[in-house]
Amino acid sequence: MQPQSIEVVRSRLPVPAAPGIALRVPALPAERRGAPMVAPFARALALLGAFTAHDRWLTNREIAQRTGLPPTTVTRIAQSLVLLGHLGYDAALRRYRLAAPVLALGYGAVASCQAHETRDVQRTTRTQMQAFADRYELNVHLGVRDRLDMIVVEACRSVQPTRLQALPVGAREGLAASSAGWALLAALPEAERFYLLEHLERRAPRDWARLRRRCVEGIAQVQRQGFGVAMGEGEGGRTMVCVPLSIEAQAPQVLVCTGAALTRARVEREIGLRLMATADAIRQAARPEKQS
Amino acid sequence: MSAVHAGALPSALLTVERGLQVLRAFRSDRTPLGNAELVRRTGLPKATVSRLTSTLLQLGYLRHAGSSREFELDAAPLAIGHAYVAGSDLVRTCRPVMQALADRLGVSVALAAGNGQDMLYVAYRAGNRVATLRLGVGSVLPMAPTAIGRAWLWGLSEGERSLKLAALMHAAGPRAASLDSGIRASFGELQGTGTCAVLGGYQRNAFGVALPVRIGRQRVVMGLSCGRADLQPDLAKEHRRITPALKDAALELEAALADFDGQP
Repeated sequence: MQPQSIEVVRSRLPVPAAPGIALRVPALPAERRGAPMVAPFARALALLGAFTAHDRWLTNREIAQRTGLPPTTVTRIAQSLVLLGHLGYDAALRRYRLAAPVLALGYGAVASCQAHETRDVQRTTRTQMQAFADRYELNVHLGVRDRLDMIVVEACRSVQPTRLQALPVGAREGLAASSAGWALLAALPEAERFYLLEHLERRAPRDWARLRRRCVEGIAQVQRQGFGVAMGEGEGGRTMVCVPLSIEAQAPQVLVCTGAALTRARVEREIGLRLMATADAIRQAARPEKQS
Repeated sequence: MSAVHAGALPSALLTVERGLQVLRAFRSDRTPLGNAELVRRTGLPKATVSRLTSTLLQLGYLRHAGSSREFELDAAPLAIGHAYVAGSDLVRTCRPVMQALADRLGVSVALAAGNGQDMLYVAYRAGNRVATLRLGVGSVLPMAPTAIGRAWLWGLSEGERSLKLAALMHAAGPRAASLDSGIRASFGELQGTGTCAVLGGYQRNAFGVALPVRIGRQRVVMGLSCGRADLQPDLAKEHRRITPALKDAALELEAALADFDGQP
């Protein structure tokens, strides 16, 4: 096959026009508008993006409506995608469906980081977190493990202005050095915990003895009382309360609330138990979802 | 296939193929890659790769990793994959069988399709004693060193298998000889016991036990595997423990999917 030059156009994709359909082609940041786009490839991605979780099959016309591309163009691109194995075609009913190779376009990476199998669980989780944040005037976030770090994947801020900034989505903390990490380790089966601790030791051999002691204490605390506490140091220091959140068939997560004016007594009598109850409510809500 | 290559829009087809190749080069992994590495992985010219990454960046498939010039996967592939998983009859049908096997053995269970020189996880369930050390749907694993890849190769017809093996050996370069003897050993196990077991084929300390399954009316070959990460697994013991249950589950899966039509 001879290498050929790729068609480059300076234009944006046609804007998908179907009402009520979530657009997959995001609006371009202003400074990127007009940057070169490989048009046939961009159209092929728009075709794949036309399918939502509610569609098993789409006809040529439906795809044309959603992408704003002419039906003849849709046919041509869809044929290419069928050849390349990314779409399946039902010749009798003249309709298309997504095929498994689309999963190799990056779903594995993004999905494992998001740690949410369904959007409904995600929505429930967010609602519960926000309710907690509003009621107790604390910031709440959700962390998952990313290699040897904890990473924030969801964050809700208290409506009351607090003196503390909430940790933003994407923030990282070391697994061995954070109370969220200890809560996660506490919830794991023993073999997996040892496996991770061994890896952590390999990465931080120098101050490992000290780190390991704090880590083991933190894990024991969570296993004993169901939640972990890291009291903020000094006035206005960030106090964190962490509860493991295990939803069946999903990567384990940790629910964390943070606040500045939290006393140990309030954490132990109220906040820790309330946060555990919220984790339970999320778990309960996630259960029926699993049956589908 | 060649007829269409020759007829309908070969240049657009080629362009789409190359674009998807760039996205696939990330191997469903979060490691950031620069244009130079993408050139190396895809074998495409530098100018082509940079136009394709620019397109992927603008459409939300890639983003810049921090402030560097390297790229990492962004959120758009999540939506497409989610649509596939939610709409797939195959995924829905095989879930309960795989979950039961995972819970019973305390392992994770994967169903994978051949994808170039890799295996692509199409369905995945983890047992209740397996929590965090796991791959998932959309994971891309190399075919040659893994149990699931070798089982898939074993399921092919002899002609297809030797073609695929030749391509894998060609790509393996200096590692070809050791890889080849490993693959032959796994084929021997598959012939003897119906399954093969490999330790450390993809992740250190993780093992897999796998067999080929034939799915649906077109009897599409896929790989089915059980795996787990352990500090010091006893591979022979796990192989013996897992094989009977895995074979039962494979039959159950084939029966449940007997009416499935087309490719996964």
